[in-house]
Amino acid sequence: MSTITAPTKEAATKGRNLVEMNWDPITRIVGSLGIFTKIDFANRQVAECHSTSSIFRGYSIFMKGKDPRDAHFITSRICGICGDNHATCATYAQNMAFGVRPPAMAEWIVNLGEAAEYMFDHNIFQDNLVGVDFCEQMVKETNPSVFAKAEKTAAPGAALHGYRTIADIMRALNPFTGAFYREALQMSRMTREMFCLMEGRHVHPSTLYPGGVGTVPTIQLFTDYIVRLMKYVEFMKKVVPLHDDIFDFFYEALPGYEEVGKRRILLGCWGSFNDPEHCDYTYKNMTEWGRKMYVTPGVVVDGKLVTTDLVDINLNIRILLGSSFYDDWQNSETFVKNDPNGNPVDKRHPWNQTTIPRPQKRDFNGKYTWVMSPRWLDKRTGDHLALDTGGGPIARLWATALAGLVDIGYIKATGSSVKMYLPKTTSLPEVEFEWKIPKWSNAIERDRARTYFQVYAACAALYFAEQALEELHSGRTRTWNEFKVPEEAIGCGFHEAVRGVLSHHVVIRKGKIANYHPYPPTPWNANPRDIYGTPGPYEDAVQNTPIFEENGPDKFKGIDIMRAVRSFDPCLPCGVHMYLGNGKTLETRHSPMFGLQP
Amino acid sequence: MIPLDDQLRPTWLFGKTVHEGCDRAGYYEQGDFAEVYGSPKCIVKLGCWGPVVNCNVPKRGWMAGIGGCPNVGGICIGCTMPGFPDKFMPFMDEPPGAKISSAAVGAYGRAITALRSITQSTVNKEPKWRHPRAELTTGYHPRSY
Repeated sequence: MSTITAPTKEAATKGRNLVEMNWDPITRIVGSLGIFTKIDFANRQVAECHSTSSIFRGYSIFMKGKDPRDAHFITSRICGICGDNHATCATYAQNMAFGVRPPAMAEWIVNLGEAAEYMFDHNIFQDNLVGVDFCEQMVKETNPSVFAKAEKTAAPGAALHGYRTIADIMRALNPFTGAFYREALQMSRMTREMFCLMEGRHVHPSTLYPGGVGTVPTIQLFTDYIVRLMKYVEFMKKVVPLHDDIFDFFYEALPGYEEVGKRRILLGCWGSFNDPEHCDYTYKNMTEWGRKMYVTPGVVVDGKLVTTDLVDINLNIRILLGSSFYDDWQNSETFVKNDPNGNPVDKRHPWNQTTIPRPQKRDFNGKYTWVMSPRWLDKRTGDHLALDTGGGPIARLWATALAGLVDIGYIKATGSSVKMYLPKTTSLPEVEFEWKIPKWSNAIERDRARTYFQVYAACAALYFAEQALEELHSGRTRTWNEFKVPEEAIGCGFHEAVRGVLSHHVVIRKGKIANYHPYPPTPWNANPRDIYGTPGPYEDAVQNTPIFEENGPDKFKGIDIMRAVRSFDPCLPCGVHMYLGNGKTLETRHSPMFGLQP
Repeated sequence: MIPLDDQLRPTWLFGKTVHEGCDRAGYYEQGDFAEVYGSPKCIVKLGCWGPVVNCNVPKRGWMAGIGGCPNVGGICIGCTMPGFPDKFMPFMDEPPGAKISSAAVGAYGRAITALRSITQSTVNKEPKWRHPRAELTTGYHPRSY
């Protein structure tokens, strides 16, 4: 973990003694995220937080003029861990723009692939990256008294996961040496195999196309997938109680820990897993087929479900500037005046955005990042809400639970919870898990939701495999429908990347891409203060976070801040080299092993 | 130092082409090409650049032998090549050389498939001496009974 501490005494805005502490770049996440804070050690609180990203990719610029059929191959390369989410979302936008509906078999194959992706990614992030923040080595260094308590606390789920005390769980989470850490790594290999079965390679799928997939459906294909799925199901029966034990312990051992990473409940979920019976990829019917998704789209404000309508969600997206390195585009072209239903589309909507980068020096009182500020306009109040995804799972589960629409036997949304049923496996009986809507949107609950969503994805996959086999046995093995790229068209795709909301908006002119704006979850989470002064989610979640770490400023690791930030599962496209101007390259190596260089 | 090629790429990864490692190469040889995505046949007419791309993914799979782009129905888009992506776009169009090569191999393939089907139907039948009739026609003449 690269920590740069500069203990300058600042006569700060509130007359407090603030110490500047910066983590740039943050390790154990993908990319170039810098968190700059001012910490009030006397009151054990984070007074100020700025979230920055020092990298600009330029997709919205170079996609222009390209063949629209290539969009999903190219945008897949936005990310090396969730690239398949991008490819999938891009095909949703392409299908809408081209007016094509894939055969049902194709939809099940894509759903099986995406389910495998969630099972893979959440597993590796939670147990090999987030888990390190809760492991013996880390807790001993940051909160020795908590570790002492952990040695004496029996794990409530010991009979299920096999670890007798909380400290035993913490030892098992140690990077590279912990038993559970290593088991999780093996599981992550297996889930990637599941993905490769469906989509040829991971993370940039080769079998996805607009109009369907190229995968050949056979009995062997699905049984190979199911065999691995059942091993994962068995694994999860142990992982849920293990994580519940450690997260509940933190609440108990550190009263007040619910304040860490806590922010107002403002969650966005764009839905995942289309139902081929209802989804025809037309904008006209999007409200209806959006609600049939196996993860329900929705916006949750202060615990209330404000909408589950993808058209409503679409029209109220606003991309604000304020602290980002771009010029405004009010004088640029308006590509889309009205959506296909006739509703007016705002100039700040992705369809009408023109990206004009303006590189400059970072200034925390002015512009300080390459991330723009996506917001969602709440028509009821006129507020531009800084929605977050909580890392993905918490928003998905929360929206799905409240909507109460999903009911497929393996999963049932009840209005206040989500029930998940795992069948009998090799050595363990059937189990029912229930994720109940928590009281807070904070670090611990985001992490807990991730584990439960791993179960959700496994349950969904069981259902999808059954549907796919039924299509196969009925002889409906076609996986692709033909299309023709129109001269003029628009399309939008809504999906859930592993980390949360993902949308791709495309405008086609003269048969080529005229405008393309993808909005992955991280801009929603990592953005800076907008022109109205509203801070981004990382910023306000970290601000006012209390410090529980037992170290003073000299040995400070900022573990509570790191737990808060990592609970969002940050994923910015990776930057290993920093350019310092005049051609000087600074090489930085990331290592999870507390700075030890391999 | 492990063996490298003239572009300093490890030969164990980049020595052979996708085509040389593809499960579906036999379909190519027989001139049997897919017309739609999702067909199990050779996908070179649907955009696959396998014959000219240095990559061993189809040979070793992506993970533990599983996957491997064209094996699973994904056209090779040449992502390992210095010319990627510009020289391979638009990806879903038939590569320029494929029209000629598929026409040439198509003619040969149809002819050879016809010949092979004759041999194949012959070897799909058991030898003439295998029959349920009483008399022995195996060529064995018992001397003791």
